[in-house]
Parts: sequence; structure tokens; C-alpha cells
Amino acid sequence: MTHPTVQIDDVIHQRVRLGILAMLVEADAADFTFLRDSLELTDGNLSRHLQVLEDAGLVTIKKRFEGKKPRTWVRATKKGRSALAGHLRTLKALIDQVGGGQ
Amino acid sequence: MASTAPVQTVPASSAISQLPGGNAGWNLSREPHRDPRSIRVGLLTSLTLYYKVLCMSNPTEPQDLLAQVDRLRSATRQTLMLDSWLPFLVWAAVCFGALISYVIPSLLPSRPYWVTSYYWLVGAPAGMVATIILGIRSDRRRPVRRGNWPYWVVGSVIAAFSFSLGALPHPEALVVTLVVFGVGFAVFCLIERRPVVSAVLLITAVGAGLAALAVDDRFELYPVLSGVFAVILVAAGMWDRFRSR
Repeated sequence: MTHPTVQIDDVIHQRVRLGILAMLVEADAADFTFLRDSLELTDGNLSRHLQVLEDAGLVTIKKRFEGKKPRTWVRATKKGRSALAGHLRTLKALIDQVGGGQ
Repeated sequence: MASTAPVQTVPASSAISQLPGGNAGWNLSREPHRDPRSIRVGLLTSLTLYYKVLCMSNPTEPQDLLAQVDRLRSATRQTLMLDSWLPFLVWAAVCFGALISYVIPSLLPSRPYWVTSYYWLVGAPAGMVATIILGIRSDRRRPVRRGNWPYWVVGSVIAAFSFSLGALPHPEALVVTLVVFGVGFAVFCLIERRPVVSAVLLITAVGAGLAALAVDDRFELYPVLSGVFAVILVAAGMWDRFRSR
């Protein structure tokens, strides 16, 4: 049997990216500013993390005008949702394994 | 003028032996075939690997991450539910209106109970329109969004059942309308992850349905049920408002 750490995906395992996905899975779409404020990040920092997630096909980013206000909406893809679910399973398995071994 | 002294390179083994305390236990000069740097690198590599495995297996990090995920999910849910207390109050007002539509005709000498029956033809569509307008406004304001299709599906099912069953010519038609609304609200609350309110509404609706079967004068049950639903919906709305603050 393989150790759960083998299944850890570095793209999601990063604390901020895990947080982004967790929020996007709960809501269908989240505004860029909401993600930035909730995770206490700068614009540039969040953009970089979103880029990584988008490149991995885990989120989609759409920019549009609502009235006169430009808004950026981020959505989790199907792949992103299943990746997060898998990652949470792995983390729980890791806790169980280490906790059971103690 | 300052003179620059030539830099001297000292082999690692002799540098260690010149340290205070000597090279006790680390006499690298006794191992002429091993490069001290490779030993150090090897030692560091194994230490790093050990530390990495230890950290990867450290339960506090995954636990921390899971706790963070829970915290963020709950914060997102709260933001989603920011204005959801308003529809509760709208429907509480509709149910209270149903109660009024029973009480007023009962006080009049001619007892025009047709007002009670026709109330829902105005009250229910008015409640639905108000809910839709509030939903659209809230969607524009909120920084997070969720698909609206479950609400449309449940709302359409409630409308279809309540109007078709409520239109039947039998004395419990109005009670049936309220039971359908109660079950529908319970489903709405379940979609919005309010299991307690959902359970209370479902129990009330099912209890009302059973009571309607047991009681002889089912029309008398109608105002009681309207009042009970109005109170539950006001309480749920106020609780939501309190929680979203």
C-alpha cells in the first residue's frame, strides 16, 4: 500500500491554493476581491496563485463589466472539485495513518 | 595604506581540528579515503530527507490545512447566506396574511370565507415575485454566487402542487396548500444547509398533515397552521440575520 504523501498534489497542497479551491467549491463562483480579502493576500499574490490553478485546469477566470464596474469571477472546474475532494481524502488518510501509528 | 593579505584555503579536516575542543569524535583525518565534504553532504541529505518525511507525516500540518478549509468554507457559506433572511420574512408575512384572511371574514356577519380561499391566488404569486426580486438584488450585491436552478425547480414544484391541490373542492384544500408550502420551505432550507430549520418545518408540515386527517373540522386547523408557519419563518429569518452579522 502506498503512503498517502505519494498522492499529495503540490499544486493544491499549497496553503493559499487549497484555500482558494475550498472557497470556490462552496460557492459556484467567487469575486477576485472576496478571495483576496478572505485569504489576506495582495492582488499580485492572488493573481499568481490563480494562474497556477488555471494552468492546472482547476479553475476558470472570467473578467467582465457589471454596470461600469469591472469584476473578475473565479470558478472551480469539475477537475478542480474532484482534485480538492481527493486531496482532502488524502489529508484525512494521512492524519489517520499517523494518528494510528502513535 | 592597508595591505591585503592573501586568502588561505584550509582543508576542512584541519579546520575542524583547529576548533576549540578539537576534533574529538569527528576525526576526519583518520578516514583518508573519504572526502569530508561528501560526508557532510550525505549527512545533510539524510537529515533533510528524515526531516521531510517527519514533516510530511506530521499530523499537525494536515490538521491545520483541514481546519483552514473548514473555516474558509464556513465563511463562504455565511457570505452566501448574507441576505437569505429576507425571503423568510416575506413568506412569514404571506403566512401571516393567510391568518388575517381567515380571522377577518370570521368576524364579519356574512362570513365571506371565499376571501380566505382566494387569498393564496394573490399572496403566493406576490411572495414568489418578491423572493425573485430579492434574490436578483442579493446576487448582484454578493461577492460569491451559487447556481439558482435548485431554487427554480423547488419553487416550480411548490407552485404546481399548491395550486393544483389547493384548487380541489374539499374542506382541507387550504391545509393541503400550507402543508405543501411547509415541505417546500423545508427543502429550500436543506438546499441552503439549514438542517435544524428544515427539520422543524418538515415536522410541522407532516404533523399538520396528520392532524388534518384526525381533526373533524379541518378548516379550523388552517389559521393555527398559518400562525405556526409564520412564527417559524420569522424565527428562522431572525436567526439567520443574527448569524450573518
